Amino acid sequence: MKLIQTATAATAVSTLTFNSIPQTGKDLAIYLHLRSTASFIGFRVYFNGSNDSAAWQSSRIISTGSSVSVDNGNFQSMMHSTSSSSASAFAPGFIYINGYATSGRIKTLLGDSYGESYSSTSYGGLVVQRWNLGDAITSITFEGTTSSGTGGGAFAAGSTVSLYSIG
Amino acid sequence: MSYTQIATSTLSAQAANITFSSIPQTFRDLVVSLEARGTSGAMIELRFNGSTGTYRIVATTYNGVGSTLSANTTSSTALETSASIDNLLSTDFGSHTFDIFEYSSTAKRKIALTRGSATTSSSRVFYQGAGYWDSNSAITTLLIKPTSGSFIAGTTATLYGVSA
Repeated sequence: MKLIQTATAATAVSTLTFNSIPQTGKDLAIYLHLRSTASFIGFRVYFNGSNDSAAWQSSRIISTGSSVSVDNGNFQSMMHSTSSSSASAFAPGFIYINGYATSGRIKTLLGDSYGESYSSTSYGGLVVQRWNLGDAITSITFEGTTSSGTGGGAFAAGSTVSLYSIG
Repeated sequence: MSYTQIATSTLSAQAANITFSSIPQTFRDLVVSLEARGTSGAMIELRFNGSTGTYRIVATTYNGVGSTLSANTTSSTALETSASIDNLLSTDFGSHTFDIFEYSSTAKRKIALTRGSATTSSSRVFYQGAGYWDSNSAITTLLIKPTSGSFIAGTTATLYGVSA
């Protein structure tokens, strides 16, 4: 496992992006430590600037308090801490992407993420996202969203994502 | 934590399984990264040292099309690990990872965390589970196969050794 890049928000930013990802590894692993400036708990991830929802299919298992539910759609948000989370709480997450540099093969993202909230409900989410373009992945963007799920949110200063190459 | 690639196998033709043999005993854990597509809908199973002994499994499976979340605990002759691999498009391969802990120990039962998906344009299956092999033997051989049918050409498995 080799660290490729770390992106940290110095101030609130709408996106964090890894660009020019080397094509020399087999898989990618990403560690997340994120918090939003807004109250919405979701953010989304996409490859190569491809944020057209028609290019994605997604399924998710969400645990909330004592219940668990499932949903699916095009883009299913992953979770992070919000403006209502306890102070200085940045939520953890992990993403694994197999065979990212292979062309002509559809890419799948497997992700675990959590939304920390000390005084109210916390969330956990397991998500699989399928990108139906077969291109090699050269960039990965993390985008803050609002309840519409299509951008408009922001990551708080100190939010960090780290990209590792495996193999 | 350091990952070292021990071996990788990409099938050039349809095959019943992928096997990693003579696994070095020098790492702490093993990780398998698998991109797999099969000739029929099936689970994927792991078998250690060729053993058809007892494997105990706890799993959560989500079928996103039917919005069905299910859980099961079972015993089997192999560690059934992941979702259906019967994909529709030639470019679709299921994505799976298996973490096998302290594989060289002879003092502990062998445990694994498994996660995978076979998400196509019309089918969304997502699997997460854990299991253990009811043996203290060190793992020297790892066999990966579908429970029925074969893997098609292009299926790729990579074995990593993990050091602290």
